[in-house]
Amino acid sequence: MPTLLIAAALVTADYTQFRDPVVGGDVPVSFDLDSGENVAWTADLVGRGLSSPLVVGDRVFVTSAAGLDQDRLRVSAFDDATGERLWTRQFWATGRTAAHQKSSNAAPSPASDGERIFAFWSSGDVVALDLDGNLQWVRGLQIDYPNASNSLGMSSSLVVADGTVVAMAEADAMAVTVGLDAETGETKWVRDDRPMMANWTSPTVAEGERTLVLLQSGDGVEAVDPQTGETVWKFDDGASTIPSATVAGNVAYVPSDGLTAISTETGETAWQNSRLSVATASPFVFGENAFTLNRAGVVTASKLEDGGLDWQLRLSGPFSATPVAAGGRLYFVSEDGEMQVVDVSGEEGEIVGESEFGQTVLGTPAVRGDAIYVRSDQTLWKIAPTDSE
Amino acid sequence: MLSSVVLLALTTGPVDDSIETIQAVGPSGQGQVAARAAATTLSGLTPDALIPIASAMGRNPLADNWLVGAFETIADDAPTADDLPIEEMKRFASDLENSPRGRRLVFELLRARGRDDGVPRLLHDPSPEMRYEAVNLTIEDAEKGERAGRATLYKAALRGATDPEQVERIVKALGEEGIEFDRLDHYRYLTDWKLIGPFDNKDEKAFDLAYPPEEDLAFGQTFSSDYGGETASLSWQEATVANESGELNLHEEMANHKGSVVYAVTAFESEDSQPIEFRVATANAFKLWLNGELLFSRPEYHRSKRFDQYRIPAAAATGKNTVLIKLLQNEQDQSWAQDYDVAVRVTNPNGLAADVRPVTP
Repeated sequence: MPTLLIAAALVTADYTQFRDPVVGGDVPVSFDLDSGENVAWTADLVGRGLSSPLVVGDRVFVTSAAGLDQDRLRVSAFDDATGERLWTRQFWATGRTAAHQKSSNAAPSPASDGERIFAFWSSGDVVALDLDGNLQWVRGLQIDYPNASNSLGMSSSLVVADGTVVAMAEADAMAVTVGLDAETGETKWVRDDRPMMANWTSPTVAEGERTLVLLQSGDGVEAVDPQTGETVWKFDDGASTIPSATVAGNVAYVPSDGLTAISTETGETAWQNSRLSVATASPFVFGENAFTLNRAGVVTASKLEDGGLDWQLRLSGPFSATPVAAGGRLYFVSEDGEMQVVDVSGEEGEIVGESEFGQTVLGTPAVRGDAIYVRSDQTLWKIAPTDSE
Repeated sequence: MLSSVVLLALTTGPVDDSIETIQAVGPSGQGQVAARAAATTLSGLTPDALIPIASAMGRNPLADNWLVGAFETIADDAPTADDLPIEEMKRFASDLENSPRGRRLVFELLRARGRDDGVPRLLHDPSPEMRYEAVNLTIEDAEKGERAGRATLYKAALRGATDPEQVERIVKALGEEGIEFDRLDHYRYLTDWKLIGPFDNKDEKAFDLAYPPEEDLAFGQTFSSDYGGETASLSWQEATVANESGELNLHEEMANHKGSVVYAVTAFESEDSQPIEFRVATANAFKLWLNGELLFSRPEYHRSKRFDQYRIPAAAATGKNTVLIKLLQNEQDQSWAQDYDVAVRVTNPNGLAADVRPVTP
């Protein structure tokens, strides 16, 4: 397929999972909440959450956790055109809801296969709903694996690959990853031999000659077959337990000793650069660069082919959210709720827009078409061109 | 009237059958396909099915999540409050014998449709959410009321308060009235302990290694322990918790023995056999036994500590109940990884202090 067609497809593609490699279109570089400029709509949220929104069809989906102990699990659907709440479904947590006060039971992001929404919470609860809110199946991983929890909370997001929902529930006391049938919720496979250590990373899908799911941990990266859970290859040089690997083409960019590029076909190392420090936000690939954000809020652009440094730019951090890309720009949202837009089309990165949400933002935004979707605990914003522009 | 009787008769069969199918869901995805079909049937029923669905909650946590989905779908499909069985819902929500979750769900639907009569002011409500709101209203009454009646209202609110923020709000107000408060008793912390240790936990090796106290407490005897390269003869020592957070603090009672195991024993009296929960707060790995039965194991070190961090359901026996805790410290040297303590309280399943009396083991 010609490159232009790929780009066009990405611009209109649904945003279906945490760090979906969707590239947006002409997303505004700034907005103003007071005047409403480029604020398509705002919706109130109930409870807490730092999961990413999903944008599927004509709807936006958000998970959260409310109640005295964040034990009332919520999935809400909003009309993408108006922001009107279409439905909310609630569930009770069946596992431990405790999380660090900065995080939430609704830290893990949901995923979608286009027909269903699969939602996941730190409490180990997984539910599947159709796009109209009808429950398809429900699982409680801590019923099956009572010690698969972390007193600081869990945050691993879901992925869907080849009809399998992959959920990681890995902690010091028990580490388990399961593959659930997307249609029925039944267990396809269980990996209870995963490294027994706290792990907040998310699985990543690698599409190639065969589809693989990459499971990251402090030990490294393990590529598994989504149908069976069997190991295809292992990269065992260690990796971060917070930011997750990013896949572009047949290369995974892993937060390991700085940033390490490995083949998704074999797990062999292509290059490694310990100067590419990665903090909480995951590495991000766009165009010919891999981007990393360090603890000081410095974004570094490195070359995909060898990890060599291209440029650096200091932003106003700190950041929990991973950036998203649209129209030759990267959109960074800091924990303080500041959106900083960096034009990366030139030889150096340049800040071309700065706007304030005025609330703490920890979740990675979603992007589709000309819109970016950002959520805090209390609010979901759709930032898109408005008539007043 | 006739139509509602007919409707109820028409819905009883599918309701019961569907609920029974949903209640059969189990671990590892058992029964999910059948449950989906049953939930689809339930979701398509009239609002007369709401009360039977709410009544069925509280037996199986996974089934509850199927039932709530059907409940909300039926409710969403009822265009106005007049389409709901309002009076039956009110009776259901106010009857404490009904499922706490079901009552809460029904109450929330009444409230959403503007047909609730306010939160039932039941300070012993088994529903934690209903009780929380009742306590809040009572606190507000106290704050707004005449000074002469405030203490009575605050004391009443305190009887239903388990949320620490609510408790502290009340305690502060009572303090201003010159009334003292016993946190240890209010939360029913276990306070009288016997300790023995340290046993060796180098390299975190001892979580599943049973030292002699696990086999026989033998309070009058000594135990040999190899710890820190030396062999020592250990005997039980007594410790009484006096701090307000209920913590049995091994830094104070012994020392922060890195890479060690300490056994701690306490007891409580119960006049009847009753369902209880142990609510444990610790940053250390631990195991907990009740009357010789291992109830819970947690090999996690220094991932935070919080109020009611672990909820461990149990059954208290009539008479004296003995609790054994195996508390483990590892060898992390970070400043945030030095806690060596545990707080244990005994509650009923709803979080209120259990009707038990802490005693010496």
